Amino acid sequence: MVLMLFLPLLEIGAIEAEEVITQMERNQTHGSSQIEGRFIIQDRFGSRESTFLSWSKGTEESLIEFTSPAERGQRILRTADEIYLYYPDAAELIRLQGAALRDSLLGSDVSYEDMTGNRGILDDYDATLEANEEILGRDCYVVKLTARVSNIAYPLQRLWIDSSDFVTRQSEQYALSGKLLKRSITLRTVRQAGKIFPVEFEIRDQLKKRSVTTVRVEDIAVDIPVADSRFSLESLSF
Amino acid sequence: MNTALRRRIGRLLCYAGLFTLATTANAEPQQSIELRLLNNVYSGPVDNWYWNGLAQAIINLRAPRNETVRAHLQLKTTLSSAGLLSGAPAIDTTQRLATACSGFLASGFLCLDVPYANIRVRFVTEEGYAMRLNVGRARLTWGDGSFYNAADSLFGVAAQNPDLTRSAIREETTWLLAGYFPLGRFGFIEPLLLPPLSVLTNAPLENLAAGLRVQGKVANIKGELSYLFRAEQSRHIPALSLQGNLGIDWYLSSSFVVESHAADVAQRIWESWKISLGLLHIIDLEGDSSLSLRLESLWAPGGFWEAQALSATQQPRTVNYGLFLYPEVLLSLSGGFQIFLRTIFSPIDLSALITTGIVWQPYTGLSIALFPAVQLGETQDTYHIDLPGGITVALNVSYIF
Repeated sequence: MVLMLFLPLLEIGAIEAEEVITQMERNQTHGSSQIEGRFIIQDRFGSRESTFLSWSKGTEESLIEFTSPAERGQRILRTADEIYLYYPDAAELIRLQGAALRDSLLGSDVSYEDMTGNRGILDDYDATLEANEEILGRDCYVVKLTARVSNIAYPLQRLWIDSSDFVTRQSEQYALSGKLLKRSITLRTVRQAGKIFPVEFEIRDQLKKRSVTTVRVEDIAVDIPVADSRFSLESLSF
Repeated sequence: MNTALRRRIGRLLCYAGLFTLATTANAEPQQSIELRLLNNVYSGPVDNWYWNGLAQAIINLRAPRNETVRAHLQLKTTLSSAGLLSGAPAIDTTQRLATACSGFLASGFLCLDVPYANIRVRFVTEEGYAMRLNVGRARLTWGDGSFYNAADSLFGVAAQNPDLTRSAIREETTWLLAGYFPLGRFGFIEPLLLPPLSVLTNAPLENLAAGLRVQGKVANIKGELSYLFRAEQSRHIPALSLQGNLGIDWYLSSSFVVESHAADVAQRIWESWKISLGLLHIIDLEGDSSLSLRLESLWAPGGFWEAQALSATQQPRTVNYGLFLYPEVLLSLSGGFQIFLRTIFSPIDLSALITTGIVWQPYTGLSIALFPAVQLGETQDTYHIDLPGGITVALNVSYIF
């Protein structure tokens, strides 16, 4: 799930770029996963932390449950084209569609929209391989992604994908005007089930001063059995 | 110790026992405590001003996370004190505190409540779907609506004693026994029994209620049908709720009451018919700031569409006016800041309760907030400045840990 948060921040281009993207997606998407992790949101006033459990299946279904005291029991169910929120204090299910998806998740640098639209990158973007560039001491392919569809969170993205292990080391998201909106950097990766994928990364919203959100995966199991019913209203509201 | 007090203490021990039973099979319960400190200065009816201090502790104990059984106990204690700042006393502040206490008033200044004491059990089928049982005191939200919800047959079409400074305006709970039968991933049937609890509270059996709701999704519109029977006055309450998105989120709810013993059943249906319509739109601003615009309306076609001259004993807020509006503007800024404006507006008598809020959440769980509020209208209107709390300024600090 958290890996999926990171996924729309990644992409690639052209013939070679397509191959790079395919390799990267193979690393960073899983048939299913169960994750225990934490958001750390830092701004000029201090630091806030939220812990969570999450489950995902395929690229379109996920359920996240917050476990930290201030948000305990709040859950988010993501399906192909909508998001449901559950607030235990009000015993209320809220269905988000449209512009509400752009709202910030717990005041972090991640929006609900960042959590959606995780189908294959090449379904939505044209990818171009721009150059090779060293970043964080790793040789990376720099891939520019230009959206082919209009209803997408980021019309333009640029990805730095490790040329040896195909892990996204950095990504940038731009507005249609070309203005940089977000930059994400992979801080830590893990090797599991024959794959290498990010388990800690930081996201900086370039429009907010001194604001950074770190997403840290503390425990992860991939390609495990997860029932379809996990992604239902019943599971959301239990 | 009087009988009522013994009963109430006994009831508290029952809650604790229930919770112990639910959690002994597993490790320690998950705990969280919300400590709220509130200071209000508010105006009275004859140019007098009052001060109200309030310390509230909300203790939540939840059974360790479990896929089949969950239990939740919430204890709420509120310690209040009040005093006259200026002018002659014209409000019984103790009575005001007592009215605000939805639980057990231990003294003139201490309110004890147990909003949640419930156990949820889940029976998983072979397909992985689960039927559920929810027993105890808890909340169920029927229908859609933040402030006005005409399909909320359980707690009423409008929030009772609304506190517009809270993020969750509707949070009443009740004793219930509810089932949950899934209809695929996005639908369910929920039968419900609201027991009369005559043994514990001497409430008459007429307080019993029972009902059912069915929820599903068709063509991207969420629909909900519900029916509740209240034995009191043999009231049947059918309701419908729809929710969708047409560029902006919308939700529509409606209900009416059929009183089978009423002298004129059709007239009662007409008078009780309520429709609530809500619109919500969130505008993305630069820097992950956002502006949330909400407009809710409550329509009563059989209500009064002209301002009423009230009798000496009639309270303005009990008048069934044909239309009420609830506009809300919420600006969320980076750094954990929120600024909002919430208004309950009665367009029939042109009166309003306007509440503004400045909320800052700088650290995990900490919230510091200032809430100025004013009532506008003339004497005998739904809202007017001479009512207690005609002008209010509240400073709230809360911390969840």
